[in-house]
Amino acid sequence: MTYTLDRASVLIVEDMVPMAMLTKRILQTFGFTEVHIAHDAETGFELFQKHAPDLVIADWIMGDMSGLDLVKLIRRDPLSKNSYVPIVLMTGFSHKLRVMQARDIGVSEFLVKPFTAKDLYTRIMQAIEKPRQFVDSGEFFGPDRRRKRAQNEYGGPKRRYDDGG
Amino acid sequence: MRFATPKNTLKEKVGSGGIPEERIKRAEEVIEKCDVGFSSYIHKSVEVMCDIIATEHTDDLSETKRQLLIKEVMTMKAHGKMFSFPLVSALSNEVLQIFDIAQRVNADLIDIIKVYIQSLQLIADNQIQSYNNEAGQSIAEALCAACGRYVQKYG
Repeated sequence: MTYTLDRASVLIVEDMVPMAMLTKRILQTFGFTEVHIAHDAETGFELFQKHAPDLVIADWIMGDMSGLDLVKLIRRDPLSKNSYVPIVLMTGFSHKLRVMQARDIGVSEFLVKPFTAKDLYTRIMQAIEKPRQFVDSGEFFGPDRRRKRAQNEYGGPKRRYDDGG
Repeated sequence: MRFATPKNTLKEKVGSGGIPEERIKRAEEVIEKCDVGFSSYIHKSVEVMCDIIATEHTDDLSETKRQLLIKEVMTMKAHGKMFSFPLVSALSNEVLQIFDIAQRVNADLIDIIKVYIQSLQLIADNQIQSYNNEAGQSIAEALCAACGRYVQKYG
């Protein structure tokens, strides 16, 4: 059994036309058939409202309105079609502070460019298989910024009575 | 603080099982074979960067111009390797690391940017896509040496 990606839709928001087309071709090779493209964040939000995609892949740095502005709109605009949609943010930035900045705006996954097809697939699979619960703290609305660890990942001393420690 | 577990509509639609490895390989080939004439984008970026450093009359560039330069270098780093110019991504990454430690854009940093611009021009004019050849290696060495000198002085 494999994913039936042709049942889901994706919106790509990327101002560099060849990059948007390349990302679309990669997604089509994976099996997606409904892929919408916008070349600026404003049009991206319009298409988001029109098509209500199941996944958004956006570039960070675009014209007047950035990918982060788009994430804010999708997450916080009262008219947003789906505030909980998984959003993958693509960017050339790889510095930890930048990743934290994106996470604090409500990005689901971060994809550093240049990327491989496997990198993109991994982020999509993460959105499908391990979506995080959402937090609304008033100041922040988005996926929980603490990614849950599997219980058996803990390597420290066991101190609880139940653990036999 | 409120917590919510939204309905996973993406999972409901696509089901389980992942995608076959062979499809990922084919997607990697899509990237490898992508030819968009990236040289013209390099030339455009070179023009923009030349304008940024040419129009400034003081020794230090303003923060706005610093950000514009970072944006250009970042764009080259992000897209070079995606469009068959891994050398462009590698060189741009070196320069971005210098921007990380640079407090301001002074004459020394502008010198590095000039070397970077010359490197990009050479790469675009001569279609030097990777560092696995003599020309690519010497370009990379020249820029790395300039970056090394900067790090020694300021790092």
